[in-house]
Amino acid sequence: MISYVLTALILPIFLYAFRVWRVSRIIAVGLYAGAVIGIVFVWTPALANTLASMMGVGRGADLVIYVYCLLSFLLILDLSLKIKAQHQTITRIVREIAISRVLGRSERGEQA
Amino acid sequence: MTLQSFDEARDLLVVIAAYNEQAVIAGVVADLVNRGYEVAVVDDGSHDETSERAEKADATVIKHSINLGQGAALQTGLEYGLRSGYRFFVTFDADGQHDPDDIPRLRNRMIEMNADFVLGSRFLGGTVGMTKPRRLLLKAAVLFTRLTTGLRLTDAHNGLRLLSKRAATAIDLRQNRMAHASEILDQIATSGLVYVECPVTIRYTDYSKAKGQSGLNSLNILLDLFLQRLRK
Repeated sequence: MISYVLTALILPIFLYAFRVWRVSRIIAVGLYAGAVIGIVFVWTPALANTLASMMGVGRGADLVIYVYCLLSFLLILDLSLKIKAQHQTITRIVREIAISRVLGRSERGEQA
Repeated sequence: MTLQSFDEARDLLVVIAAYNEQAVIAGVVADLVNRGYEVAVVDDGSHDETSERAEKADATVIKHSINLGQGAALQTGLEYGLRSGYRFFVTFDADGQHDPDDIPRLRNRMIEMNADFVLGSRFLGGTVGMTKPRRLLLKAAVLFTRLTTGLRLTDAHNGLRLLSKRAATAIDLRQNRMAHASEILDQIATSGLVYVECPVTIRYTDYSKAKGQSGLNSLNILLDLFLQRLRK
């Protein structure tokens, strides 16, 4: 039962990664990879244990937490990019207002 | 585009990005205006009398309603200049570090090499009052630029530059803060336009040192550039 619940929780990450693709392919690929690894671990916990011992992590549960940390880091990076994009929009608006004021003033001056 | 009528006042615009520079801006603008240059000061949301003093000194003042950063201010100045019909653009620091007498040298270099970008170099020219840590930081920036853009420059973060109209059109600064200095080099490298360096003199004063960037800020610059690389 818990496997179905965890899978249902991971699936939205695929949709999110699809949306992120337009902004950053690197982050989207990271999210896809993290989500696939997450689902594999949910359905084959033994594989998580095997991989964890191969990587020197110890337990499969610890490896899952590391994957979760990686996903969280990628989501933070994505948020940073979104904030940057919004800042770009603000910059364009401020710039347009500033230039229009000066050009409008000089046009009015020429007309007078 | 050639420089046939470069000396005509309408052709060249000196763009100065300024933030809270009321102490020095009038003198910097006057030095340029007295030599016959047209000057646009982009007041980047200053809280002091930068705009008023620049205007009194005969600069055109373009005022950002909020502080965005030096990169954003320079892009605003370039866009204003392009829309107003200027054909050549000099970017010039507001803190008095640059020497207006270097502008004709940049011009001569542009003509001589038929270049679109002329980048000032303090390491080909000279410096007054530069500290050793600053020198080391700038040398590290040169190495970083060589590794990331392939440009072989002697000075990667010099604010004194001359751009042709084609160069100014090719540049689209998206790094609002100090990372724009690296971004502009990145865009020069990808534009395929001709660039050359020119010896200039940078004069560090107590004022410019106090206003300048701290070494730690280079970490912010690296982070901004990293985020930029993640896009697309």
